Amino acid sequence: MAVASSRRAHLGRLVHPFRRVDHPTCEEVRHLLPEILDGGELPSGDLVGHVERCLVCQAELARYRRLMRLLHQVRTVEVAVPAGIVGDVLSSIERAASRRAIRSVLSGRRLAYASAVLGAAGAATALALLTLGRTRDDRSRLSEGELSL
Amino acid sequence: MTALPAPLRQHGPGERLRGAEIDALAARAREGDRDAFEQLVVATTASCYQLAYRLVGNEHDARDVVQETYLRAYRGLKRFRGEAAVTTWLHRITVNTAARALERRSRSATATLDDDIELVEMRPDRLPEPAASAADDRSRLVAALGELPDGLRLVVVLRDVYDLPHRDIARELGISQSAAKVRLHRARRLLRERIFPARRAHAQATTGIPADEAG
Ligand SMILES: [Zn+2]
Repeated sequence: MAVASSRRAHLGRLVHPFRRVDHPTCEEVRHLLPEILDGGELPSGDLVGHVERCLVCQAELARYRRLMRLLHQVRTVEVAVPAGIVGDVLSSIERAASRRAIRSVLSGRRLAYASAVLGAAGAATALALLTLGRTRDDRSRLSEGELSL
Repeated sequence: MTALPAPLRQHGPGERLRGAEIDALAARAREGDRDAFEQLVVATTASCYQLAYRLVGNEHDARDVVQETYLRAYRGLKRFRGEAAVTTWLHRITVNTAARALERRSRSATATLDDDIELVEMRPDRLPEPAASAADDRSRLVAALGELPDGLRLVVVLRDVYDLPHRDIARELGISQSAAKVRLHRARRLLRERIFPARRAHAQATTGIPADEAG
């Protein structure tokens, strides 16, 4: 029957992409139950029919529903926040901020030095310095600093 | 418990003012106000820690995750545009940092998160006996969550505890939605087996047909 087969196709697509479940066994229903607890569309047809007729699977569904309720309640279970954690976070940010400040001062000095050199020298010298800089680590860091400004 | 901002969600009605205040702190911090950033840390650390703890399952790793989260937030604050609540943004960083920490942890144990999922060990002996009260069931569930493989715990906590949509879970963990769903369903099956051990539960529910023979 067209309707029945489309319902089965729908069920197959919804709960299990690779296997159609025409007359599911308890074992198959038990395996599929965790997939239909998301509050979305319930699979129709044979699965629901089986559960309606089978006490074992009804009990299993009740267990999964209870599990879902318990999972929702996990947020009410107190997690003790360790003492001193705020202090630790603030100290690590302090250290990171100092490192950043030092880096910024250093790169400022390098830039100031570089502009002084470039300002004093002629255009040809500046070009030569930049070309040389590419071959040296410290100079290439300098040019990265310039690029990021 | 005090009304902490609800992680990964818009603030509830009772928390709106608090949320707005926290967002205002973030705006000032973005302009370079260090005091505002410190106040932001003070106001949000508890909820970030609780989320981190539920994701990674122990205090030591949760502390590391929280520290790294705020360092990343501090560095990335200028890029935070304020489209979402700042707590939502912080919790996203927490989830991402926790996932990376767990990935590192499993790599150092010479397995990936996915390998770990395949090697699920059932250790019902480590859980207390089934009990009738909801509080006991919740405690048993918290213990069982702690025993899940990391990759499964991440997904089930985000979906079933924090109500994060599949799409967001997949994006935060860098996996496909179908992979996230497969993990979620495995996690639920394992938790169900641990919280309601099969033979005993079936014996109660049926007329005596053992679960493994039914069907
Ligand atoms: Zn059945």
